[in-house]
Amino acid sequence: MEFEEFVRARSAALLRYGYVLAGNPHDAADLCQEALARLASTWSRVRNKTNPEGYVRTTMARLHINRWRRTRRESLVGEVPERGYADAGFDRVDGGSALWTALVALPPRQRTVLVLRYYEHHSDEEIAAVLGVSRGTVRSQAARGLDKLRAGWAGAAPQAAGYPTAGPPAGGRPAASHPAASHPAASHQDRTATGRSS
Amino acid sequence: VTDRLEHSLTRTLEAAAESAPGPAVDFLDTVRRRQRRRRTRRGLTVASAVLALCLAGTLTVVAHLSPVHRSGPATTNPTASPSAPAHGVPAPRIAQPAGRVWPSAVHALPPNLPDGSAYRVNAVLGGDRYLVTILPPGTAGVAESVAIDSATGVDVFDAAAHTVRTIATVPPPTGGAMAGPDIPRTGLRSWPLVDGDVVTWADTATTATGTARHESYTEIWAASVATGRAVLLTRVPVAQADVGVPRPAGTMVVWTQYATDKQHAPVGIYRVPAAGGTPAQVPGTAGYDLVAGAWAQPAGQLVDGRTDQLLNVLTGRRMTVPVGGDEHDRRLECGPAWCAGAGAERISFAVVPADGSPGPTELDRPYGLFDGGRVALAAGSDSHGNPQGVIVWNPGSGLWGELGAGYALPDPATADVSVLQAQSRPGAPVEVFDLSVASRRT
Repeated sequence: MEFEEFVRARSAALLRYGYVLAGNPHDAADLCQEALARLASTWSRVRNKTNPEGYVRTTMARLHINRWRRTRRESLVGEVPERGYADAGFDRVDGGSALWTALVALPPRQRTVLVLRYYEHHSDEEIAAVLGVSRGTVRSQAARGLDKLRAGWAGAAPQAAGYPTAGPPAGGRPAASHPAASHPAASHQDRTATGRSS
Repeated sequence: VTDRLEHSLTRTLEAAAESAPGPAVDFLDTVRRRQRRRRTRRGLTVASAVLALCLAGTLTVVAHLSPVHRSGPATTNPTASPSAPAHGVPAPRIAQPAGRVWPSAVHALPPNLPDGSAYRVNAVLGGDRYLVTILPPGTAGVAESVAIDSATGVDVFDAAAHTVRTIATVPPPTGGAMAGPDIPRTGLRSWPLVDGDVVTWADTATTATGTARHESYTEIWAASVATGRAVLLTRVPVAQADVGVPRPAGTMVVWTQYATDKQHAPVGIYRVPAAGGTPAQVPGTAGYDLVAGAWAQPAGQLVDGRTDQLLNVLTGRRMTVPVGGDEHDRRLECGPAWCAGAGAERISFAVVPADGSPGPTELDRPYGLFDGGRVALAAGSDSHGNPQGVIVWNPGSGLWGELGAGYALPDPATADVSVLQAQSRPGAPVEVFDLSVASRRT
């Protein structure tokens, strides 16, 4: 397969991945194009030795994380004005627009870890390898992200087994009276894993 | 709740992805343009490097090859152009074990403390002593990857004497060990950081105020490494403010507090004597975030100027640092010695002196500053380009080396971290790399 053929075949899927990573179509395209440009420079080597799509997805995640590393203080105040993210896509998410809005409001690194875990279905060890961080960091980032999403979830989610039709206020703080919702350690994963690094 | 949330999260992500716009008609052309731009810039970089080497060869005696790689210090070449980074830039494809570059930085420690406890090293204290956090019984493998909330104590391990001295237990006795069947116990929130004789850390404590109501607090603690007496410096309700990593700075402890809304903006930097006292907000620090030790940088949203004011929240000293401009698309994060960030068009990365003089801007990967901003770290990579290990680089001395696959980058939120560690397998010795050795000028 030639590079152009690969791009034509996989760009839509990669843009979908970029969209859930970045939270908006513009940054998704930016991430995707930058990763593909890097792939183009090493196409013959990557094609022969590894999975090109895996290479691109790893590059996209790392670019996104590294962008956060450089701009983490910016992002603290920089996300809100761009909440025009609530474009056509969100409204079509079945019952999940509130959750998606809350997800987009998460700090980029927490969101990336959750995307890799719940969209790419990677294990924490795989996520650690993709992002070049320790598994402990992956777990703490995931726990904090889930904490924030869960903050309003318990009250907003239906009690039955169905899925929410209304989510929490985006990025709302955990209730102070419920430490399980506020402490980084409060995730199911952390409790069950007992902090071991097996 | 967790299962429902996780299930809904999966569905929401999948649905959002399906709603993402498809590629634009010129998508492939744009990719090709980006590739050509990268190629052009790399070509210019190589040409500049060759030219610089030729000039250097005619003017200087080329140093003989040594087992230690030393790239030219960026600060000793004031005439270097930002676009001619032949010197001062690591070449990660040439394997260069950091242990050979800085042999005294490497410490081999037993897999367990004398009482059998697992542990994580947080600082090298000298004299074969180490500040460690105690991990739960049975913890195995690479201590670096252990979840922070699993730590149960802060101790000093004397490897020569085979003794352990307890500074504090975590969570402290004031906290509830188990607030309820669905509520986890409280625990450590930031790994301890050491500066001189002061060690400080944060934990979360839960206090039962009734049968059904609990309050959570972030507590900041400090102790003297010499005496080991831990002092509770402050207790901030979780609902009131988000507390950043507390950092020791001389005899003081400083931290940033953030708003609890979704914007999470820094509302101020606080300081308190490490021996105890009343915490006070440093005037004029709303909107600032600590970057290294007592140094803080405005938490701006966009780069709309070329300079920024770095502020020492203890001395009041200010210094002008570069934050962006023609050579940098994005804001640079600065310590008192170096700034790190992205180069032009975000296809290269930069580490430049904080005084604004030129520095390397064609790094092939992003570097973060650690050990108080004195040493730069980046994720290493294997032969396929996948992340592996850590590149350690002192941009001042030009020395760099690689740490192996067992090592991982520390959390960038704790830029004052001074050690990295790895364990090849459960039961194997713990290898500790002391960044403070690598960050020395020579």
